[in-house]
Amino acid sequence: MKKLKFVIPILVVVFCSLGFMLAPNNPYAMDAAHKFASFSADYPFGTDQYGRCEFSRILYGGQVTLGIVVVGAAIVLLIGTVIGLFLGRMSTGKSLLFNSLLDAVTAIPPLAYLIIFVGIWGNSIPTMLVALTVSLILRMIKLSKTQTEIELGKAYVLCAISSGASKMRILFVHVLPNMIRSLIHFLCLSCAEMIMSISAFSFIGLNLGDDVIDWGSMLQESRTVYSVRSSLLYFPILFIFICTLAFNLIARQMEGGEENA
Amino acid sequence: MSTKKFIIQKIIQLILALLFVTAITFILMRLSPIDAAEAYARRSFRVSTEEIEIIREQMGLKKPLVIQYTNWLKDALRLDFGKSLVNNRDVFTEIVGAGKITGLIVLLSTVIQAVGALIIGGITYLTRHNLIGKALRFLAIAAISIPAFYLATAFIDIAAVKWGLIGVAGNTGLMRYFPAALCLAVGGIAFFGQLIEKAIDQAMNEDSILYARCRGLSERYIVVRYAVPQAVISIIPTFMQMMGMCMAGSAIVENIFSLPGLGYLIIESLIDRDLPIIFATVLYLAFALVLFNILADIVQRILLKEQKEGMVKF
Repeated sequence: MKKLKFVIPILVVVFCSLGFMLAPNNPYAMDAAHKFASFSADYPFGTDQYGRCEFSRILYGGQVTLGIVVVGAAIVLLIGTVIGLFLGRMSTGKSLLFNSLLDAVTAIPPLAYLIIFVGIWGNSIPTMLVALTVSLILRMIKLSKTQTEIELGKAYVLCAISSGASKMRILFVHVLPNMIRSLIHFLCLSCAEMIMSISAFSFIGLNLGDDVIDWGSMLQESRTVYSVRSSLLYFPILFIFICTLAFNLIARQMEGGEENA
Repeated sequence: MSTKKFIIQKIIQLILALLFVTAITFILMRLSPIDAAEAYARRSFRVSTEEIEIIREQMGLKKPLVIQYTNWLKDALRLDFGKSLVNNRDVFTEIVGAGKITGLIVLLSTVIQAVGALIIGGITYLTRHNLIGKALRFLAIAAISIPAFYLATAFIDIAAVKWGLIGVAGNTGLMRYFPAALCLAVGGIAFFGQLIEKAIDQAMNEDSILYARCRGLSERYIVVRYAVPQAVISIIPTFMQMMGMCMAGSAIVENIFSLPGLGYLIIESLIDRDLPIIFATVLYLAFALVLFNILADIVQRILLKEQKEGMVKF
């Protein structure tokens, strides 16, 4: 049961991000004869106002929306954690200026960074990826640094040092496993927030590019034909909801597991 | 840490954050694929290359980035942010006007969140052993997962257009901002409801509660009278940080409800490449965000101090 709660959300995320391989139709192919087709074996979710397969579009949209989030999160986890570890290790000279800088930079929420980046560079997949990585990596570094400082003060580190473990071994073999849960917890919550933010930007008209399919722009397009076929509106929102929920559930498992361990 | 050092650190933090954010805006603007002078020229239908060059000269875009930045900083210190390139209005007055609207939305949303979270958190705690509590917990996670922008559109589609309950454009006063504030608050209610429930649970394990139980007080009375105040105090710092987040979050909701707040202004000016407004709004937003954060730190510090001295009284 415990494992199931953990595996299902991960499977959902994997399916939504890699589902485009299973797409039954070309998501760009317009077919005027099949406008607003209802559910059928050929078109599992029906078709939209241009006769494009809704199911395939959802899957391709997931590749874009979730792809940005997952790739960004992976970069943040890898680089942010390592930088944080080393900073935590070196913080013997806890400089007031450096700490203030880190505090100051992380005081601004990721969404604000996204607004600045997207606004100035125009929204596109690379911009979104850069903006997301930059805004999260700063928070990740701070979290990882604080956690490292806390862990380094604990007794087991002393034991490790006295049994001759090298600095690298202490950081990566002893300290890292003890804080990885809270790092992933933070990252999953951020991912959930990011899915919503990315969709929100395409939804209010700053779309990721002319030919890019993503859930936010699908929502925006389907809103114009809401009165004709409302299900077109519900599919993207359902998938956004499911993915956000999945990330939130993983985060909760990470948090709960810590208490039980 | 002494109080003096604490205050100095917070001031340094505020200044650094503002410098960092404005510097990043300048650098990004320079790296931007869209040229501000060209965009301005296009808007006023003067598109020859020489004319664009002249405009670029006038806007000071030919000077090195550092000089542009320090010039802007000097003016900003005197609260002179220049004039809008689009409608030639004074940027400072524009921003103060928009800031009021965003402030109202955030304030309203904060009140809704505080009341809602208290009620939801309390009910979840009291029903934690039965099915209602479990359902509420799942609902809370589900509510966090619904994007605010979708709630906003659903609200417009259903409440305003279908039922004709509320004219989206016609309302004046607070009611005009209420829908936006409500949509913004749903996630917060769920999130803080969970936090309050956890905090109540923690508070219920303390010795003072044991004493209250020994006095024969009813469980519900203990929760409301003793545990809830303690829980509320413990989440105040997080709650204040959230107020800052709300300011950024309201940018998107404002756009959907077409409320001329800060978020609306910033997105509008970003589309128009209106440099003076962009820089000033970014500065204003960062200032507000960092200020809320610092306030949260101060409150937390005061609470910690009082706890140490054993002075927390309800």
